[in-house]
Amino acid sequence: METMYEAGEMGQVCWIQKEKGWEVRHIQDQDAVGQLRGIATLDELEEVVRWDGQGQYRPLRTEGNLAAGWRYSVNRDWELREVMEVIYPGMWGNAEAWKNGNLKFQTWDDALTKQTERVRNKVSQTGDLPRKVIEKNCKKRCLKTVLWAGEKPENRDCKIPMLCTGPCGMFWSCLES
Amino acid sequence: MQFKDTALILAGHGSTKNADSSRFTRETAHRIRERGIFGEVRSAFWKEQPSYADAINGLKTKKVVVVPWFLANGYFTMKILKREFAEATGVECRVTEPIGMRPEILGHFQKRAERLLAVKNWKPSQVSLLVASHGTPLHAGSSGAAVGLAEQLAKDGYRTARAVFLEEEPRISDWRTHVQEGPVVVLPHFLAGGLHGSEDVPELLGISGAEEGWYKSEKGEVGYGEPLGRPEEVEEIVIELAVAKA
Repeated sequence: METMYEAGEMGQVCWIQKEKGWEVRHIQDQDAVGQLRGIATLDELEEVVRWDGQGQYRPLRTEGNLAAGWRYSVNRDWELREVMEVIYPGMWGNAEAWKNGNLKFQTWDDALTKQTERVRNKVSQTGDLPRKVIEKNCKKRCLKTVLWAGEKPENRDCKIPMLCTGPCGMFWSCLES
Repeated sequence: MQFKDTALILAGHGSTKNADSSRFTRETAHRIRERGIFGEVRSAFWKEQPSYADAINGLKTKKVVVVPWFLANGYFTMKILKREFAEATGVECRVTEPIGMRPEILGHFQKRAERLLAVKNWKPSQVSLLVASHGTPLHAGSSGAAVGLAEQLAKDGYRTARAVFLEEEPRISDWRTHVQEGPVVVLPHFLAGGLHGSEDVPELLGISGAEEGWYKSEKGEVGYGEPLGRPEEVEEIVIELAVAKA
């Protein structure tokens, strides 16, 4: 792909080239005709991505539970970027930096140093707990590639990779609980 | 007024449990972006996405001003944010004071108290006032803003005006012992949408709701104010902080 905009797909979202601009949809609605709810503002879109299909809060926006049934039309590339920033915050920039070979990501030691003493003690007392959280939380729930745990993104030209650059709030929350 | 060479990041806390925690931060970022003042506008969070590091990664602009979506020069603002954004390489990054340190905040607190008094047709001299804040033993600055606000509010003539805290003394849970008998106005020194202002503090006060208004608790009549941070209330504060030295 020449540009990120040509890729057409990221996580559970796709964008379809129209005469003028793009239409962003859930990938499940890629071929839907006419029955999708039109979203017109970023605030409306925030409401769509804040809840899953059962109406539960989605604290992890890169979880594979994005609700379907909507469409968002954009005319310019920067508008598409803003839409993607609401759906998958930070992911476009990470992918761009990865493509350009300058994405920085944390090491586990760096990340742990930044936590409180309580968290560091818990980690030191529980041995392989971080690995368990990666397996049960990150790999099962989240669509991101866990770069900081040694994963590498799939090289698929049509899809923009979603890249995790460090343990997130959800990771620490799972680890603490 | 345009700062197209500058990116603005609203840096908040966020929550993995509370759906409303980041809502107003994100909405305020969208409002400011629409005004076209800055080259880019982003929100970023400690507990939600994007992380502070991911927000920086995605910027085209190499000059960044970070406005902390916090109320005090406490642990997060002084330690976490300074550290996280100081580590950002390849960008010139300035972290401003948090929104809660602006002088306009006093006026917002006064308005809340005045609205509550107007409902009962009372004067400040007939009620006590508490500023309910977080506080933390991790950083002395955390409680300072609330104590300062209570001192300013005391000048309006309340029977008593003082700050109480979730995580340090004097505690919100002991609120009744910190004020004289009679009605109490409690102003939450928390940002709107967060768990503390909407659930924790009302529970500690023994009141049945978190909407602005008067409640009967077992320990007396409590007027609870609306937490700060609705976009229309803080949008200008954020912009003023961001452009102050830009």
